Amino acid sequence: MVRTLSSPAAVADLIPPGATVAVGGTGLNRKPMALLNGIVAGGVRDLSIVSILGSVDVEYLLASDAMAELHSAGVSLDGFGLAPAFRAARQQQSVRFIEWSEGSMVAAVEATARGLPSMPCSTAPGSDVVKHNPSLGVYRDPPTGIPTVFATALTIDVALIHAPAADDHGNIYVDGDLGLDGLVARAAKTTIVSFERQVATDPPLAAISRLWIDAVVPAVGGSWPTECHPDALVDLGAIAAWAGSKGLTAEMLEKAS
Amino acid sequence: MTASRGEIADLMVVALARMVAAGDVVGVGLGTPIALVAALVARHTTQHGVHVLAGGALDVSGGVEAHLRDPRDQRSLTPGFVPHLDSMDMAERQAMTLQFLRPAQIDRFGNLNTSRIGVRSAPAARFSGGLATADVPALLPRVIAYHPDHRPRSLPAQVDWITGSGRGWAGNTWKAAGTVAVVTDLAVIEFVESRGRVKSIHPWSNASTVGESTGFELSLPEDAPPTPEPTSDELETLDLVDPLRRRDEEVPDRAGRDGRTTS
Repeated sequence: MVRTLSSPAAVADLIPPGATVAVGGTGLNRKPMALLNGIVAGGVRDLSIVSILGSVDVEYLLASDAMAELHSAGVSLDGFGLAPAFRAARQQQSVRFIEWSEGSMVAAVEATARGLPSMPCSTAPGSDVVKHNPSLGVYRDPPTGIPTVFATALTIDVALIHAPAADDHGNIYVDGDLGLDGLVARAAKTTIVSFERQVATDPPLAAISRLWIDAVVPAVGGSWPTECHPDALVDLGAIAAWAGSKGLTAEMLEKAS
Repeated sequence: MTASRGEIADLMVVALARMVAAGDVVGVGLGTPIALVAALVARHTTQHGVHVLAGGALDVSGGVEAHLRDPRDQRSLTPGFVPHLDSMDMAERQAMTLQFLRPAQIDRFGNLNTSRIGVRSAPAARFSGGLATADVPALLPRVIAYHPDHRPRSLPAQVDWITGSGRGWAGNTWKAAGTVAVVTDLAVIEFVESRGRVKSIHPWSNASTVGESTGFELSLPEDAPPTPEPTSDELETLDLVDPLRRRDEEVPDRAGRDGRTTS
């Protein structure tokens, strides 16, 4: 059964301190900001965050001091350049950063989703990303003997996703690129989705089946300031302000959601 | 002789575009206008069916501005979308054949650094992260790098951090050629057997400047030709695909910086 939460703030009760939380969306697209705000407001700390392509999600968690560790293939504000809090945190090494490539992270999440101990991937064995990421290693592929990068399954306690629509059975509908969301929904022990609109049930069109969803919660504007097509555009002014370090605050997020 | 940002951007774009071959499927990432314009110029100037995959949309009708639109606004402009995860599979299957990458550093092995400058324990600067740079050089038939600020720190003997390995290691079974060349604001350099060989020098530079600006030994033929200037056809195409000159944004403004332009 898919539960419906009363508000995004209720998500904090489902996440223990120190949990590994995968954040859905990519770049400035469909970041579950209302859910992250719920976590921060609920005082959950020391999180290990998985965000394949991070942006304001990572920036907000850094500014809120909720994150101890970050797994990512990259964090930026797209056209607005480098993410200032992320850059500062890396240079000061205030948060443990585990660098992935996109391909290796997909493999690690896919291994978890499929219940496998590891998955091979096409990442270059000579990359320093492989050398320094404890989840990656070069092994001879057993059947062929070819040196290949293997990614150990990445344990994910909770996945947080924002989507334009859900039906009353908890099926999720997305217009556009699903990114890694379909995979993290399957890999996570608990998957929570916030959504803009309730729509009529049409299971064959669902982007993520209710099978993989544990809880949904309505959150209009819940991806602000990132996009959620067709309901919300990127708030370019807010991103520009953040890029200039004027700040994305909890008050702003609460107002938006 | 000095060169403006616009002249540098134009020559870098056409030098990249001329390396696109018949039948290439060029993948273009985000935030790299020189790569995007080069791919579009190649598509417009070649007779042999070059395809461009930019931001998940294939062969979008129109120029740079159409390519920067939201994918949902490109519905009527493209015959097909490729979801992010599928684009990785395209690379794995070599259904994408070429990508232009803009690293922070590149060395003579064609190793690419998009991650950090300085030693790991005390980095001087860190960037957004490797994205797919660790994946694509091992997958695509060719990667061509570009760097609009050619100096020893950008082209060092060895990159500070190997995000994407150029080519070769024990037991290498790559079908891919790895990073085959780099186009800078001074020259075009090809990588042959882990050596950088100057293919051409831009009209505003010369052999000694190129040598002094490079952190590794270059094979620098006495008679390295000048990089051919953009033809009138190419200039016309540049105006057509990038009338707002977004390509200039990637070239640093060197006002007040010495030693770049030479007479």
